[in-house]
This record gives sequence, structure tokens and C-alpha cells, in this order.
Amino acid sequence: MASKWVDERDMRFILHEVFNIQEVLLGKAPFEDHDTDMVNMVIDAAAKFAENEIAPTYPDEVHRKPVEAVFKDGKVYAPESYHRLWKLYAESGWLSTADSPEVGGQGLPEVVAAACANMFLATNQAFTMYPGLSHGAAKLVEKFFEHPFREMILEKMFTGQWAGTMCLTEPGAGSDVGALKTTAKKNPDGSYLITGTKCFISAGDHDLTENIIHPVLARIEGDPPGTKGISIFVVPKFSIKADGSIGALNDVATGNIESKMGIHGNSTCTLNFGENGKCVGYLMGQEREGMKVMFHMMNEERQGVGMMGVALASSAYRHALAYAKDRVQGSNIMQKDPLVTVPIIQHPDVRRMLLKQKSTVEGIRLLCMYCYFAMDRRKAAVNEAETEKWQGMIEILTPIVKAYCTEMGMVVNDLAVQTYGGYGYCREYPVEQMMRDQKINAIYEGTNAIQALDLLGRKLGMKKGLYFMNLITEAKNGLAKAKSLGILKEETAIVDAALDAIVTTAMEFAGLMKTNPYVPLIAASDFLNCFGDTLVGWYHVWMATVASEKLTNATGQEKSFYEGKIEGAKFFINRTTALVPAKCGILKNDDTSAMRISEEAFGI
Amino acid sequence: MNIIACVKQVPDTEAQIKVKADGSGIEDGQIKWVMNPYDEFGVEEALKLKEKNGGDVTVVCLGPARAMETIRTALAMGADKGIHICDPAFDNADAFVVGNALAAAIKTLPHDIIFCGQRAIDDDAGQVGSMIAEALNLPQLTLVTKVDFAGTSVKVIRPIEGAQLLIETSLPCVVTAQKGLNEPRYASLPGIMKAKKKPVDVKNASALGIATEAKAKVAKTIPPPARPPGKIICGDDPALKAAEVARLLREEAKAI
Ligand SMILES: Cc1cc2nc3c(=O)[nH]c(=O)nc-3n(C[C@H](O)[C@H](O)[C@H](O)COP(=O)(O)OP(=O)(O)OC[C@H]3O[C@@H](n4cnc5c(N)ncnc54)[C@H](O)[C@@H]3O)c2cc1C
Repeated sequence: MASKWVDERDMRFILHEVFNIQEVLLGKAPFEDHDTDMVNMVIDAAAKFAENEIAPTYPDEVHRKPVEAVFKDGKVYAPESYHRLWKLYAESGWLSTADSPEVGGQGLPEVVAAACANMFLATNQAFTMYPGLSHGAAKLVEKFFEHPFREMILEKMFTGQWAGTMCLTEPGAGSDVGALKTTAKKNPDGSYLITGTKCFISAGDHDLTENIIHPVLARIEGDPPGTKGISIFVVPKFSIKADGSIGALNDVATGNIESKMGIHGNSTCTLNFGENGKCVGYLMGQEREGMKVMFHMMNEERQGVGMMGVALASSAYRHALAYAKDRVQGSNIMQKDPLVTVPIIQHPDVRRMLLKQKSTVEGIRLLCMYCYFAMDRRKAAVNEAETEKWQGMIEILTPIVKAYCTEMGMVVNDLAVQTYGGYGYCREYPVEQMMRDQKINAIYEGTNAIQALDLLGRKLGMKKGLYFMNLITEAKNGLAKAKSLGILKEETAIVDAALDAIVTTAMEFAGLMKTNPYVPLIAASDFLNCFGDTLVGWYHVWMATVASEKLTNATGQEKSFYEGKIEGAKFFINRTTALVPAKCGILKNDDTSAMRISEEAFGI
Repeated sequence: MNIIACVKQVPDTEAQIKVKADGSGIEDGQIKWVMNPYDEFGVEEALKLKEKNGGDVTVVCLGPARAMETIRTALAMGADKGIHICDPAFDNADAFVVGNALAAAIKTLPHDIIFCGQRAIDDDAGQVGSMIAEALNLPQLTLVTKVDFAGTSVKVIRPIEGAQLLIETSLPCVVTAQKGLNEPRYASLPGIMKAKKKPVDVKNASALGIATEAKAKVAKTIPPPARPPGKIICGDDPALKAAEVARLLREEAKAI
């Protein structure tokens, strides 16, 4: 096996063989300057960088000493090893892979940047979050900040001299962002004075860069309560002088950093803005449009968090696979010779765990990558109908990518630990840390419950259900192709039935929202996961269709690769997608026990 | 300053090598190909010299069509242009033919210093650098771990058993790079984008006007003998197990 950390072959498979980007994207506007060789060189460079430079910085404990972000005398220090990485990352241009040449980017397709991000995240999520958040914040500045500092800030951020964050959460405003208390008061010069406390701010403070740009949600004095009254501000950690040079601290103080389950290398900060009434912020976009603006970053980060779910699952699986081939324990159950012991990969139950991991990882990777592919299709669209079709696809996929990939990612991380047995529970092997790191992905960027509500309450009904039905149609078309080629007949029928169940359930839920809303509200998370199980079923049929065609001429490792795709598809669809109609049936049953039960009855 | 860096495309060290059934070479369809790691040191040193003293870097590579990827990698690292010597006539070329072909291509260019890897990790022959120097009648500095350029001459360090040699020579010369010379940079994204637009001259044997007949021929490629399976000694009594290990070491492995 090439690498325990990154799966370069699967990336090439998705980009070239499944999406066929050579035909669909490359050479066409806005990707007219790009070709397959370039893409392969980029993937190759990313894999090398991830494996050789990022992976060695992964462990959050070395010789029983923690490797973590440290808070000391009011300042935050990132782990020592991140400094060199940050510099290399920025110098190599990874901060602007898919960005416009106008901001110094390479304008590569989003799917290519996502493939690289997958490999970086697979080797160290805590580190990769620093540039990831920085990129998201820079995008906001690029799109919405109209201020003389704009160009200068963009240059600093895209070259990695400055970093960025996203500041939504407050102690009293987590899932309910509208409850925030941070205020903004207009200064005579048009800037604002920001006052308030944000908590849980990832990469909120560190010593990797000379300055940090915080996009901060706050309410301008006198504006209405709730999300409607929220505006967004660019708040630099250090003041920016008129000539662009860095001034004194902008009254942004780090109160503390969290001690947490995972991602120890990433600082999770409490930030106090304006404790001395001197914190200056600059409006982004229009007043009271803060949520609209921030959603641009939130969508990017939600898709990114989905990718985190995939990435940690992928590297955990590859470690578990290598371990299973190596660890000798017990004898072959069919031969029953206690003197002949075998590697655990020969045991049927270990194979079950491995194939579940493999088929889940590869399925959610394609789901996640498909969302980025949709962004490229939107960028490359030649008319408005196409633009809207792909925009709609992104809308509906985003909550599914965020929640399903992190939910299933955790299932894989759990199985990876299980594959190792007792050693998996110990820090000697990285799967223990991977499972801890994975947990946050289901929580931040809007918990998976919030994603489920977004899907059910907002996304399904968008454009009277058109976006939802477009996605279903896309999947049905994929199945039709497999059917016409006679590939995976039974499995294709299973996915088809699951798609129908999703459509019926969505419609019935829309009705129930009016008559008995508790049914769909209790079911929302399960429904999202059923939708994910179904989409991943379709993606497996797609991959198996490609693999079947390629198999005819493949030999050696390549033959194994394609065979693996087909077996993975069968396993996933028969054991997971097949359950969707039954699960949907149960969700629709008028079962509201979770609401009927009194709070006291939960436990006395 | 006109700097030349010679590069060879070789199988990735991680690649699973399969010898062709008839022993005529290795199956090359599915392996991943990379730039010879020692050549990477050469390219890096060439780029550093250019950054310090100005000039340009030309990469020269002999290999089949796929070797263009390796040339592009060097261009993405920062080299300015490439020469790709590509001709089926070179399919069975030995170091003599390769050295002469590279020398013939280099001869057509202004050259102050020529970098090669000290050897290629596929055939491990370690002759091409010297062949080029001979063909061009230039001084050769082999297995170099440090290069200092001083206007019209270079000083290099070559480690030897228990000491190092400081060698000085006039330009032009051939330098073969050893591990430790530098840390090759990563191809940056802007570099990868620019590489596409940099010129690469493709030349065949007749354009270079050289003989392609190899002096040494590989008669047969033979895979290394398969490793015999390991032996696991089972049992509950450590003393008995240790005695068995000792017996096997003495009688079977004849190690003690
Ligand atoms: C390590 C880490 C990094 C973070 N990074 C950032 C960051 O960079 N920037 C930032 O702004 N924030 C960040 N956060 C905050 C994160 O986004 C919030 O923790 C998250 O949105 C949940 O808010 P909360 O913790 O207040 O939980 P709560 O909102 O109190 O939620 C508690 C539980 O109630 C559920 N719940 C709450 N409301 C509803 C509802 N309406 N319907 C159904 N269920 C509901 C939730 O799903 C959850 O299970 C980070 C958090 C952590 C732990």
C-alpha cells in the first residue's frame, strides 16, 4: 500500500475517471489554462507535502509530552512544528489553489483544491484549520469588504503573512447565533467600536502570523434583535495604520484557550473585544446583512468540515488496513490449526470492519467531492439555467456533506480503533487521536442537528422542491446508465428504491410539518442520514460503473483497485442503502415518544 | 550564469516492481514515475546558484515520452527551459550512450556548470556524470555535498572516509550531487502553472548526431530471490521456545 495517510489513487480516480474533468472542466472557461498534466502535478505535490511534511506533525503527544496550542501571559503559541509548515504551505501557494489570479491564486477547479485539502486534512486537521479558516476569512474580504485596506489585507492573507478566523459563537449564542450580545457603535470616521466576548474561536490567536483578521458578528446599537439585526465587521488583532503598517494591539484580548478532547494543536480561544473601549472594526457588506455575508464563509467551512470528516476517516482506515495485514493473532477459522497463526485480516469479522470502513470512506469522499464538482460546474456554466441547477445542487448538498460525512466519518474512526483491538485504544497508535479529533466535526459549524433542520426546513423546499428534485434526477440518471450497461443490477434497484423512499418521505414530512411537526422534527437527523446512505449508494453505483469498464484492460494493482470498487459498492448498498426504505417507514410512523415523555420521566 | 541540470525519470521507491516474464526489463505500465532523488539535489543546487548569481537553468533529460513529466517537475521547481532527448533508438541505451547523448545536447548550449545526480536509483550505475565530463573534456567533481561558486571557479566539498576533501576547479565543470547537498524545494503551485509555458526542445538521435549502439547490454533482468517465509515458534514455555530459537539459529540459519 502506497501510504497510510493519503489516498492519492482514489483522488485521481474521482477526478479523472469518475468526474472526467478533462472533458467536463479543463480547457473550458474559466479553466482554459489548465490541463490534466497540471492537475496531476498539483495532486502529486499535495500528496508529497502532506505525507512528508504535515504527517510528521500529527501526534498531539510525543514522549508523553503534549503537543498543543499554549496560552501563556495573555498570548497564544501554536505548536513549534506548525511554524515551518505554515511557511511552506503559504510559499507553495496552497492558500489560493482555486482562487482567482486577481488575488494571486491559481484558478484551479475547486475539486482539485478539495482533493489537496483532503490530503492535508488527513495528515493534520488541527494544523490545516489555520490556513483553512484564513482562506474563508480572506474570501469574505474579497467579496464584501469595500475599504481602502481591502487590497492590502487580501495580499497579506493570501500570501500567509496574516491569518483569519470566524467569530460567531458567544457563551450565550451557540446554535442560536441570533442571541449574540456583541455590539458595534459607529465612529464619526465611519468605522465602528466593537464590544463583546466571543468564545470557541478556532485559530483565534496564535503566533504563526504578524496579524489576524477577525470577521466578527455584532449588532449595531439600536438594530433589531435576532439574526435580522446582525452586521459583520473586519476586526484586526493589531490596528492597521493609514499606510497599511501594523500598529498597536486593537483592544482584542485573548481570555483563555480551551483544553479539549481533540485537535489540540488548534487554539480554541475566548476573545474579548473592546475591554477598554478601543476595539475598531470596519463594516463588511451592508448594515444588518451580517448573516448573509457570513453564510458565504459558513458554507465554505461546512463543506470543509464535511471534508474533515472524510479525511480523518480515510487516514484511520488506511492505518487500520496496514495494521490488519501485519498483526498476527489466532488461526484461520476454516483451517483451525492453532499452530498456524494468521494476520487478523484473514478473519471474516475483521474483513467486515475493513470493508465497511473502505466503502464508507470512498462513498463519503465522492459525496463531498461531488459538492465541489458542483461548484466548478456552476463556475463553468454557460447559461443561467445551468448556473441555477448547480447552485441548487450545492445548496441541498451542503448540510448533507457537513453532517453525513462527519457522522459516518466517526463510524469509520470507531471501526478503525476496533480493528486494532486494545492497541487502538492506546496512544502508541494514531487511530486513538484520530477518533478524538473527529468528534469536533459533528459539532462545530452548526451541529449536525442544525444541519438536519437546515435540510428539512429550508433546503428541501427551496424553489418549491426544484433543487431537491434536480439532485434526485441526477442520481436517477446515473442509475439509468448502470442499468443500460447491466452493471450491479440488484444493487442499482436497491438504490432506486431508496431514492423513491427519500422522495416520498420528504413529501410526507412537508405535510406533517403542518399537521404533526414533531414527527419530522424528531426524525430530521435520521432523515438526513438516510438521504446520505442513499446518495452514497448512487455514488457507489457510479464508481462501480466506471470500474467495470476499466477492469477489462486492467492488470496487477490496477485490477485490484477496480475490483475493490465493485466489492465495496455491493457491500455498502446491500448493507446500508438497502435499509433506507425500512428506516424511512419507521420515521414516518406517528411515533412521538421523544416528545410525549415528560422531562421528569427522562430520569429521576 | 548558464547552468545545466541533468534529470532522469525513475520508478518511485514505493512502486511495486515487476520483472517482465522474459527478463527483458521491468513492467513499466502502472508504476509511478518520479525524478531521480539525486537529480533533485542537482536541480535544487542549480536553482540556488541561479538565485544567487543570476543566469538560467536548463534541464536536460533523456527518456521516453513520459519523462516529459519529470522535465515539467524541474520547470515547476523553477528551471527555465528543458531539452528532452526522446527516441526509441535509446530504449536500450547504456551509460555510455546516455552520457554521450546528454553531452551532445549540452554542447549546443552555453554551459558554465553541469549538475547530475551521483547515481540513479533504478540502475545504480553512477556513470553518467563522469561520461558527460569525459565527452565534453571537462573537470568532474563527484559525490559533492557543498558547492561554493567564486566567479570563475568553484570549490566543492566531497566527504570521504573520516574526512572531507575541499576541491577547487575552473569552470565549466560537471558536479554530481550527493545526499546532504541541500533540501530540494517543493514545486509551488504558481511554479506548476508556469511550467506549462516554459519551452522544452524535443530532440531525437539524428538531431544530436550520435551513435546509439550500447557498449554494455543488460542480458537479463532477474527479480531478487523471494524471501523465505518467517518461522513463528509457538508454545507456552519461554525456556523451551528460547532453546528452539537457539537450535534453529545454530542448525538451520547457521548464524551461531
Ligand atoms: C473546538 C471548537 C472550535 C470552534 N470553533 C468555532 C469558531 O471558529 N467560530 C465560531 O464562531 N464558533 C466556533 N465553535 C463553536 C461551535 O460552532 C458551537 O459550539 C456550536 O455551534 C454549538 O453551540 P454550543 O456549543 O453553544 O451548543 P448549544 O447551541 O448549546 O447546543 C447544545 C446541543 O443542543 C442542540 N441544539 C441547540 N439548539 C437546537 C435547535 N434549535 N434544534 C435542535 N437542537 C438544538 C445542539 O445540536 C447540541 O446538541 C467551536 C467550538 C468548538 C468546541
